[in-house]
Amino acid sequence: MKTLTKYILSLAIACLIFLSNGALAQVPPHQEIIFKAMEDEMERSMNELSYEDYKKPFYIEYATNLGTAGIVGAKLGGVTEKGTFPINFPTVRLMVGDYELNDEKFNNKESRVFHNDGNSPLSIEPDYDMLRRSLWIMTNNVYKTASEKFENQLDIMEQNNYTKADMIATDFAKAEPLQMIVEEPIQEFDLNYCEKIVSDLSSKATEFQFLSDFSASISYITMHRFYVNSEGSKTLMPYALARLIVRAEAMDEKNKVVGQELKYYFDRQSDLPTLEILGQDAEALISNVKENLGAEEFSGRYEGPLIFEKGAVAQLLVEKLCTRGNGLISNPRNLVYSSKEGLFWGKLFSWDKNIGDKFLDKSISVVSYPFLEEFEGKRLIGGGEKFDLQAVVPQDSLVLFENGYLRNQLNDRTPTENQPRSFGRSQPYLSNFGSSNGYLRLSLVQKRGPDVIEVSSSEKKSMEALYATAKELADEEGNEVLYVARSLSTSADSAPINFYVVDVESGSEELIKGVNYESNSTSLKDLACVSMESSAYNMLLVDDKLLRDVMKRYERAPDEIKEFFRSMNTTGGFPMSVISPNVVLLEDQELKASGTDNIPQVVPVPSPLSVR
Amino acid sequence: MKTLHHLIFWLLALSSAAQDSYSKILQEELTREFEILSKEDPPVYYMDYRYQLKNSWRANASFGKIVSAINVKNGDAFVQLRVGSPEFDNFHEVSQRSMRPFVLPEAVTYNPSAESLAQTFWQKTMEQYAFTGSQYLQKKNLIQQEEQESIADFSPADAQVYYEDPIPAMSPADFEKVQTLIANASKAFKGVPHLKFGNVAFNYNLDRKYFFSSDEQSIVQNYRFARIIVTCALRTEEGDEVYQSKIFDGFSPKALPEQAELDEAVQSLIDKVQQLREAPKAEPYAGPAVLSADAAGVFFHEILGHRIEGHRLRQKINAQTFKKKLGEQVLPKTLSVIFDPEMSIYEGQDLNGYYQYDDQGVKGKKVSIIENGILQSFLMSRTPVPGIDQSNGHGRGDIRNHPVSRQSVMQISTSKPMEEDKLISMLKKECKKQKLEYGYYIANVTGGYTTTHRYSPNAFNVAPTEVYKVFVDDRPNQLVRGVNLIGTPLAMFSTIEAAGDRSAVFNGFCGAESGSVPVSAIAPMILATKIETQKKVEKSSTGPLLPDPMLVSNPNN
Repeated sequence: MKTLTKYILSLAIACLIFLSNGALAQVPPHQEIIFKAMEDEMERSMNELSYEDYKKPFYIEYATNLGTAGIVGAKLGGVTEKGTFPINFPTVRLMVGDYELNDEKFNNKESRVFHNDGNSPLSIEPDYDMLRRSLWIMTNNVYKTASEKFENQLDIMEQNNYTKADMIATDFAKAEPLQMIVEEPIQEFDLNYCEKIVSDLSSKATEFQFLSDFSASISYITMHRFYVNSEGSKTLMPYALARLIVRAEAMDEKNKVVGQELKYYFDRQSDLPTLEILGQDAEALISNVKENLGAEEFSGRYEGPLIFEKGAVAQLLVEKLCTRGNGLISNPRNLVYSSKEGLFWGKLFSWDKNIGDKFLDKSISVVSYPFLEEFEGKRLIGGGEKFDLQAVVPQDSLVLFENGYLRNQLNDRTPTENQPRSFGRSQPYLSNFGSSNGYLRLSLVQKRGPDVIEVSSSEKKSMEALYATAKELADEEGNEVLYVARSLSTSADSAPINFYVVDVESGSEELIKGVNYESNSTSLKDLACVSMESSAYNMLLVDDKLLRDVMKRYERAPDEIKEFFRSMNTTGGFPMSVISPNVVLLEDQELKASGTDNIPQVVPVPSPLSVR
Repeated sequence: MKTLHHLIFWLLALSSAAQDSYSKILQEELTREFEILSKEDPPVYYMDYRYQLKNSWRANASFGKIVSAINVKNGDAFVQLRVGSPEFDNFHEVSQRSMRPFVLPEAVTYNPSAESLAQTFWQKTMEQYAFTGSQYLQKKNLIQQEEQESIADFSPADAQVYYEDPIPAMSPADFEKVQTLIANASKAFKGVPHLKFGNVAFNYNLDRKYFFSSDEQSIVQNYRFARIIVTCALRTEEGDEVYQSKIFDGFSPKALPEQAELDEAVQSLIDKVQQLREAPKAEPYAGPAVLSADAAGVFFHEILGHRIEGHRLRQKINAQTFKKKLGEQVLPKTLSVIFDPEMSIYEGQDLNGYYQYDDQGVKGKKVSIIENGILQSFLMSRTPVPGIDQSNGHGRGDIRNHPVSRQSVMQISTSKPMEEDKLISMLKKECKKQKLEYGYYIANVTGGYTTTHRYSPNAFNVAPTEVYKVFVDDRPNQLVRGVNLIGTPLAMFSTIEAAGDRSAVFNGFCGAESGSVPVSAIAPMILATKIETQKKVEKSSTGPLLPDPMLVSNPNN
């Protein structure tokens, strides 16, 4: 979390504008009760847990998550939803075996062991007895499952002549115990203030008759995470994040809905732009939707230089670099068994074996800065945590790409073949529940994720020089035009990306719609040059592996159902920040027309807004 | 002339609903859309808007502490469009299933502006229209290949204007008081050995329901219901779970018990579940049984209620148990059954199935379904069935589904009421006759389900939670566990021998194709000469390895 001194400094100012800027919550009371319950139950479990002839656990960790999630949404000036939801749940991780070989990295496709002797809820107000009871029954369930699963794993390994020596990596990396209580108060969000923001914002749209819908919603999570493990770690981490989504919709000439969004992420209410700025952004969004409706349709195919600007650069880089496995997030392989295929290493895609290989243009370096809280005055939601969710303190910076060569992947305590120790990137993952922009919630499963990633180049050019290079490249290829992908200019972290066709001769540009760009594996190798200036963007990075797994389950479902599950699984993600050049020029890129359904929708009744 | 009539109607409707600005917005938008859609090809000949504002308070307590407490407000909107004509429209039953559009769950305005409310309904109407036109044409083509019944798809309904004033929301102070009440009551679970869970939960739903249609129906009414549910489960030596629950309900939180009564109920529940834990497991059984009045309500809801829901008679996949039985005897001559949605209270107990108007804007009417054992009618929505072409105000559905005929307040009565002792002695006599050592007394049930389609056995399953063996000799009744009551409806009806002189109320929520709707059943104790039970599914668990920390001494105890 952010440093205490900064909070104290901001407290004086915040007190003056208390009502509009939310309140600072107290350091969680009952801290001792919570830690004592966790420690007492852990001690009992480590000492006394015993199940038939199975092995005892060698590692246990408990986390207790206490806080509040809130949401308020509005549409065309009317409130659609408003409420808060208590966060009060513990998580238990327990392993049987040892660091080299344990139950977690084995998947028997034919035998799923699962024990459930019940569950016991936590109270909203922390209570020693209820927390112990909850941990007790969860530990029991996890232990019985893990011990049976591990016994089964050992039997199968023996039958298949596998030993510890055959393991490609240890199953769990050792880590130094960490005792760190971050006693910073977290800022709470004022739901009534948020309601005013979204109501006022969404009511502005009623002046625009061509819109078919306009909505705004703020959802937030504010919590404390208490953590202990059997190695002696004990941490307390405050956590807060909020998201504002502004969405405008209109119908095109075929009555298909064209929707565009602005997204803002902030961990202090005071970092939300003023209503005046948000209003200007909203108007820019509405204008952009209108301009897109009237824009020329892209046709045919284009091959040549492509310029990315602002948020489009960040989006491109994240798409190319931040995938799990074949990207900067590690993807350890499991030992898998099925009677048909035998015992084998999971065929997971991974760059792990490619550490040391060149993937990017030689000018490009990528570095992770987990403690970075601000960049040129902009608050970074991905940085500032003092330790990760497994109580590992990351190093100040971690080089991921150096001059185009892959050096490291972001990982946690589950090692890969070439990265045996944790870099401390067990990160919070937020998903949502309720409506489509519903309550944010913290995932129960620990995941490896990014924090603050800076992408930089050793070959920078001024904007003028960069555009001149682009024109030269276009000329060389005999193109009369080149294309620019540029995000709408607002104060939002994420804004719609427009494509513009630029006349090479005159330099004039025109908005064009219906463009489909798919970057390929060599896109960033074709990087010609980048601008001198950089900007930072906050975002929630979707776990692409999770999304693929979900979509695989529904591959035969109707399109609407697929879309439903896609949208439900792309609204959350890892809070991360990207610092990226303002402009990037890629050589030899391909653009196609996006396939559109040409059957017009029948909408016989004009919208009420349009007839006012 | 028709337009003038329409105008007069809406002016009247608006004057009665003047307090409510939403009514005006919705009626104006509906009129505007209907004007256009009714001239399209194929034409929309009927449309309705349903708008529901939900305000709910939920809290849960365990071991003396509040586990969750939330107040959720949301709004939901639903539009029905009927394309074609009342004789044949897009809702026509065909053997081939047609896909309904998949609509993303979304938050719909609960504190709307005029623009957001009108725009929401316009969006919903256009979503529906995009689907219903093609659905109508598809069915029209399909039906030409099938035998067509000469029965309309939609019946006419009278114009209606009805307005209820809003009911004030529960105050934060009152919600706090309820939380204290349930938290205090839940303290009793502390220290209970073998406890799997013990909860006291509070729910209060206060809904405001708006209904407007092109048939000049303008209904604004409230739905409210408050509950406290006490649940408790223990682990048995074998690793099974034994469970008991107790429900208190009423229209408002004021109808719920005070602290002393609730504390006593929780303690009594704990005592009961502890007795149940020690009780022997029951073996599968076929023989006579007495169902308490509490249990009989669920029993009749499942085995009878779902089979007299009229729209099922038009479903080709439905078993249509009673389709050809109008005027025939289906129950013993001593039994009669009515459904009366206007009945709001029975012997001091508020009834969850009460309403003034159904979800098609039709006044809920008292219907005599069975008189002296003879089937007289069906529960009707605006979908006609052979022989009955009018709704009796039972077109019901939740706000995310099209209404179909559903149950309301069911009341079973007998012309030969018998005292409980008499029924028990008849039970023993019947056991002797069947050469059985004992019969069953089913004191309580939690719920049940039934299947009414043709592709699986047309059976029911009711889940008792408190069952006693009643021995033919003078041995005391013996509590047993692990019993499910199963059977098929027609066979079951024929075994009902007698009914008791006192009735009890079952309030619940019934789930079916039009979603979850609140229902009630008022039934007397009954004696059946043959029921069948099967063993419950056992939950395999070897139980926790370490003792419950709450039962082990700790610094806080």
